[in-house]
Amino acid sequence: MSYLPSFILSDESKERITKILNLSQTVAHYGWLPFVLYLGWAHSSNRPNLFSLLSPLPSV
Amino acid sequence: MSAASPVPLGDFSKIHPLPGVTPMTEEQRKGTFWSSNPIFSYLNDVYSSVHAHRQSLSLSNPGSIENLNKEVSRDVFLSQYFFTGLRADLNKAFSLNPAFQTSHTLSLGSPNLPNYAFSALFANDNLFIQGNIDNDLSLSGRLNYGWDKNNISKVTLQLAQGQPTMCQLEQDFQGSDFSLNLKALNPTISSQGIFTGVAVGSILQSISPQFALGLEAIYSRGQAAAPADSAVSYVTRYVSSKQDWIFSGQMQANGALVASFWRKIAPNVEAGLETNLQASVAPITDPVIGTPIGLQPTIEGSTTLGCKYEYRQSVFRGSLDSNGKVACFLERKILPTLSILFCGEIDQFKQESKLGCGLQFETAGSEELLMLQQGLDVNGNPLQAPPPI
Amino acid sequence: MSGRFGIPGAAPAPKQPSRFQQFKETPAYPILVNVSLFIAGVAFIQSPLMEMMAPQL
Repeated sequence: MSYLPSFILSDESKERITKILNLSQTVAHYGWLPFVLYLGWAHSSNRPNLFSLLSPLPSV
Repeated sequence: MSAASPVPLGDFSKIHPLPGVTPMTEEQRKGTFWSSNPIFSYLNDVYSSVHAHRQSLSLSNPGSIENLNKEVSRDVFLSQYFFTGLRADLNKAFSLNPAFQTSHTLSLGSPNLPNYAFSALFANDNLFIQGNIDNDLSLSGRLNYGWDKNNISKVTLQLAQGQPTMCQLEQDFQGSDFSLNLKALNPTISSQGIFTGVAVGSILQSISPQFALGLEAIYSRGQAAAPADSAVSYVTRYVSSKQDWIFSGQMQANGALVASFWRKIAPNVEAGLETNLQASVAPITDPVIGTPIGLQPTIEGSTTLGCKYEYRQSVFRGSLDSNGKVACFLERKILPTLSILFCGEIDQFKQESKLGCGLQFETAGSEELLMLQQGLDVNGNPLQAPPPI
Repeated sequence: MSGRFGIPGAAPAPKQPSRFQQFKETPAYPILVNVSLFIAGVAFIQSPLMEMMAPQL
């Protein structure tokens, strides 16, 4: 049996890696802004609600 | 031999050392084998003497390569701020420390600005995170995390539908007299162990308290099958001893030579100058047949002179360049919550002009900020200093 | 005399361009122009003329 280096991946695991990469891309795409908003919401003192977070009008 | 002071047997400190043999110093005694053996202690000595010499030069950090000509190209010149068409920004601040604000941008009649964009920003002492999404659902995000005062990791993301993703990882290290920056753009390691993507390493080192030299090396490989590409750029920066003028020069690997000069004339007036020479190779075409018959070097150059006037209520930037472009950008705060923007550019040689007008609203998301915008503190008393907006 | 046997339609041999025109074609011209503009700009920014343009507040 010929020697195979350990880093050659099988097709299955290659597919899995591609899937994981695509998924993480989608998560980053749609999760980035909600994450920023959550961080800001969690750190601000008055905990604005979702509507006031998203509306451009003054909320007070 | 009188025994006036009998030596106590347990006290070794009174025993005279043999000539030429020095007892271990306190430092050496504390060290382990790795720091006390002759080779390593020699290396340590060399290192500490070099370090002490470096300290004695009283060098300061030269700033990063990214900010090499920041004073000119980002502060004084208006190209960063220029837009065309109409635009409105609705910024809503929720808190100042940690900073948290959202912004809605509407734009009309601009070829490169999206019609609508929403962005959010959060920043505290060691984290900065920002995201921007537009009406085509393309996202650009940025995250900076400071591990300590000198070590910052940065991630930049750009995701758009139907376009390749861009992800840049960056590590910034600021030493006492140098700055080191490592960047990787879309790094991937293929299954054969070949790196693809772009890797950039740069260093800027202070040579004297005023003068800094640096270089930037780029390695890029688009596909694992294609050959790799690499290039080196050289940069330099000189800050005058009174810090009132700065010269910076760059010799880029793509054949561009950039020299810039900045001066602070008065506390509210700055002037900047940038000369750009770009060398490239253009094909020569046969005048009769129209087929390429050879290559010739061509050099294109432009020089831009700009100034910035900063007042309490308004900022004015103007620039003039050697290709016949005259441009100005005016930003004026007419109310604490409303500012107007105007920018215009005339290309005298091509007989073209561009115009942009904008409004910027600042609204408050919390009681405290609302009072601050009106020049009052939390209890409704007038503030002494103008509000820091 | 050479013009008589020239290819019909072809323009007559253009007049030898002046030395300045020739120099303008070489890559040294934009370098010289921009370097001198840079030097002039630095001299202008550093000169008292620029200080006079700062408003006295």
